[in-house]
Amino acid sequence: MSIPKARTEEGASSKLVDRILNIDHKKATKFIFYGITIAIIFGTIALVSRSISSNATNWQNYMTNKNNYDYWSGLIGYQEYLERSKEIAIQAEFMKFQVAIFANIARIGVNIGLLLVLIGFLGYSAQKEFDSRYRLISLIIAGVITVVMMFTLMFSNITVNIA
Amino acid sequence: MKIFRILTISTCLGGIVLLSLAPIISAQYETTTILPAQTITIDKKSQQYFESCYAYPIHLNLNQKIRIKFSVFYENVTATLKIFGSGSYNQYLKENQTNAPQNKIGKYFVYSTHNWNQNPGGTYVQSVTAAIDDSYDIEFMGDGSGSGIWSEPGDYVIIVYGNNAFVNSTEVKFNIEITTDGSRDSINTTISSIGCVLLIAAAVLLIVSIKKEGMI
Repeated sequence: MSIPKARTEEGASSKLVDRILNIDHKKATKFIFYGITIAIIFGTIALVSRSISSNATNWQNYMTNKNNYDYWSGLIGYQEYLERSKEIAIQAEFMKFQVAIFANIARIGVNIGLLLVLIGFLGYSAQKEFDSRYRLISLIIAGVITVVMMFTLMFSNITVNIA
Repeated sequence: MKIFRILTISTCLGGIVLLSLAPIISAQYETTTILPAQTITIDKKSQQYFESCYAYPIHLNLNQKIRIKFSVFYENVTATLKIFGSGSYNQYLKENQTNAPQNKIGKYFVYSTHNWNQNPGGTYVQSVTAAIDDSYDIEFMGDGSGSGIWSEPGDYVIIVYGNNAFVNSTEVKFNIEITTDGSRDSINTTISSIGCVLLIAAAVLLIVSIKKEGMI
């Protein structure tokens, strides 16, 4: 019985792993840079989305008061007041809900970014010309990133409380 | 490279400026005037025959709303405003019945009283009568009931008839102004979208310039 091709050195999967391990440190640095950039961009999107969601009620209160003020000032009539009230309510609902869409997109983006960073550090750890302690630290960082990615993929809410 | 950088900065600034100005510019287009504020004079015969009434035809699209400011500031005068569908109006006009303007029932509309000491509210009616120093702020969308109005696109006619209690005068004078929803929302969306596109373009230019300089 012969070994399947994919498990041999010429197989596709071993080639991919080899390619990751054989990247030079310049390429690894690029991977880390691109990964961090992508993670920061998507992380920012997630933070902005969460901020909009948490401020939706304040925005709704402000807009409701402004609507009342516009009515009392005579700028709008009662029908316009009613229409704007309903618009404000639906918009506030969307502001609360949009986090479900954007935070999930951002989570995928951050994980892709972390994956690139992980490949970068794995590449560092495989550099034979580097100091062994440096390579070990790179491997540990790659491991930590993997753990973080696994947690963020499998659990929706992770909070760290520092008393 | 210097031109590239200037282009990036100016595109970014343009985007920020458009995003900031969008609500200010669009606020100027809150309403569109259909009939500017003016004083109209009709004869008191208008309360007897449709042909003597003041009639202003309007067309309403879906969810379009008109706002009528109707007032009387003249002694001895009472003026009544009603809104009919153009079909009914033409029929009443042909029938030419005596006292028809007073007897025929118009479409529902709402008028508001802007009392700072009360919650916003409106009164749903089929006609309003303004006597000396009365002023009404009316909104109309097509039709309604005693508890609300709704959109019914189509052609309508605003009619006004009235009376002058002074024996030596047959003049009925009233003030009217008609406005409709402006294009505020569409202008706001257009300007904001252009602003967003400029910001995205600035980001793309920044990435291209960084790449050209060989930083990444």
